[in-house]
Amino acid sequence: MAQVIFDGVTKRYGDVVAVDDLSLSIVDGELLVLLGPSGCGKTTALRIVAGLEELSAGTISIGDAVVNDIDPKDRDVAMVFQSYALYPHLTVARNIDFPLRQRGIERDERARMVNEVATMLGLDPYLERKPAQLSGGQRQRVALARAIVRSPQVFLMDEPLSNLDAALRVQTRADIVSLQDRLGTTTLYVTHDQVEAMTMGDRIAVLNHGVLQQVAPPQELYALPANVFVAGFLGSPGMNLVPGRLDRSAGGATVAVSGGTVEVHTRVHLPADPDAAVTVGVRPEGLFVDPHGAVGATVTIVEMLGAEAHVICTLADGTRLVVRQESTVPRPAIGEAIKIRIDPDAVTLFDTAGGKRLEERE
Amino acid sequence: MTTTGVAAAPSRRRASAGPRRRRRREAALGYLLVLPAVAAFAIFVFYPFFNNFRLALYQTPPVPGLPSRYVGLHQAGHVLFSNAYGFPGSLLTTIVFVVLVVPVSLLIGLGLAVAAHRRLRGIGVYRMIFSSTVVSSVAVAALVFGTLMNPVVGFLPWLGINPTPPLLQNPTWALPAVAVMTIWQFLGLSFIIMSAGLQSLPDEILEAARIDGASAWTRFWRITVPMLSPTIFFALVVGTIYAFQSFGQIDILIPFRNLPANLHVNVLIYNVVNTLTQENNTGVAAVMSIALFVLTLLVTLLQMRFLESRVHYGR
Repeated sequence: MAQVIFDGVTKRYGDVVAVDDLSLSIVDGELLVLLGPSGCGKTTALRIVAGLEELSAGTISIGDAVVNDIDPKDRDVAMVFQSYALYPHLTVARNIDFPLRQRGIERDERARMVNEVATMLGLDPYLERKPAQLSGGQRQRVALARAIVRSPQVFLMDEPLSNLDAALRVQTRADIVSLQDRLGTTTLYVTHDQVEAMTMGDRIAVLNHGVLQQVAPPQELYALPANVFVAGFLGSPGMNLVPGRLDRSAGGATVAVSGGTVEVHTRVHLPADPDAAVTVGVRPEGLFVDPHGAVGATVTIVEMLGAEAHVICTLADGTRLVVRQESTVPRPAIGEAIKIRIDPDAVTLFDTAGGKRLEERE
Repeated sequence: MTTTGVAAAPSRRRASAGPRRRRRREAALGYLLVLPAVAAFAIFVFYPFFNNFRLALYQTPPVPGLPSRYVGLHQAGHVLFSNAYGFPGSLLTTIVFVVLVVPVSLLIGLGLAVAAHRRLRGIGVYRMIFSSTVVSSVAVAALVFGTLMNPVVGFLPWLGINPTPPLLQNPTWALPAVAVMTIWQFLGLSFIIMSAGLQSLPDEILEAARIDGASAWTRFWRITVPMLSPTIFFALVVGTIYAFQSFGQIDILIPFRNLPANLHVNVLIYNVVNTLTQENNTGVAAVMSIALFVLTLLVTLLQMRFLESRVHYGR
């Protein structure tokens, strides 16, 4: 068990900066998810911990030791790859045994450890098979078994579920969480899937263009996104972001947006400029189709998802809005002009220029 | 089916006859298109190949102009099981030559491929150099090696490697010297095959092995080589066939006219060509060339039988 600390870690490939001055601590025993769109540097960050990439600047520590110059095999980390990276010519048992063998553990002890892990992951019937004879889910479990068999200090997982079908992914997601919880091993988990991140992570670190955007527990990240990127990336669908202009003429504060006005609480630090450009952020569940609403919009699509429906509409200036409503609520017709009511408590304001969330006042 | 609408039947028949006729037309066009290739093969490969079996059954007359005499398998037995035409010696020489050439060129090819399989600046130049031997002509290469080994002006004698008699006339060293040149010549292809194999290996598996604690040595022998085994097997088969057919370099480096009896470079194909060109003995040459064909076929089949079961295909 160990903590992992990125301190000012930068990785450049020529002129491209893959990871930009990343400082981040993963607490001992925590499952931290690195989340971001593809190409955001999350896999590079993971490979830096594994020792597969050298740093351009900064330090990386595992436990109390700086490991910048330490070989991958001496870092005591285990990695699960997206492609599983099983040894195709070895049986399942030999695959799981491989890391133990490299450590010179005695044969009987190794056999005992392999069997124990195989039982834990339900792999007993497949021990003598080759990876090519297994299904995707089974291969994935072999990769997990190979990682946990030697009780490393840190697990590194690079999108381990993205090659599984949807049903199996949900199942395996839960399995990994309970396994990690039971073993208590510090885990760094990379994914681009925000549902995976939300459901699995103790905390989530959101990366974009190699820059850390925010680190927080899932609920905090959802409720209080640090900037418009995090707001739009998290949630399915993401937060609605509507450009507008602040209006403080009437004493209180409203934001004029295309097709209406949005009332906002004055609890936040509003910009000094009385008609500053701000972005109104509202989660789809904070919007309601309501004849008394203050913003006019036109319905473009209605998506029915069983328990809920997404009413997708556009404002006069083309900005897209998604309204989430219960499936029992009557749904508007496509092309219909509707009014949208916005729950003032659900509104998050962002500074349009910098994209940062306007903080609440104490 | 018999009762469903009489009117529908004719149209259905038309519908099914149409595609069948079209398929037949397409097939005819296909045969027409492969005809030139088949004709060329028939004239230059199939006819000589089968005619060779016929020639092997006839004894070539000692004096040109007399008719060939049918002797059946008698001639074949005489050639293969007596020393009259040097066949047993040729067979042994051929096997020694293949054993000298193939493993070494595969090992060096693999070594160079592994060395060149890195992302280093200027590595492309090395790759080009390593693979260049495959495009150089046997004749040119043989002349260059002949010069290198020349007892008077050669580079090897200059280095102090100058046995008496000279390398290419030395009973001990002549065959290894030719083998070295053949290894060099095959190295390019061996390197290219091995490089292609290496490039198809997923990086992630080797990275997984690194993280799992495997040393470079272990990664090479326990991961790279087993995963590369289909490639190595392919190179082995190709290399063996190549070595069996080596002729040009021997012919150029050691002309038949100067061939002392104790100089063991008389590989099968060399013997075949010389029996044909120097002695005009078509029948005996035919027997020996069939023997070479059968030998190559057998070795390839044996390799497939015994090695392929140890080759790891599939991911």
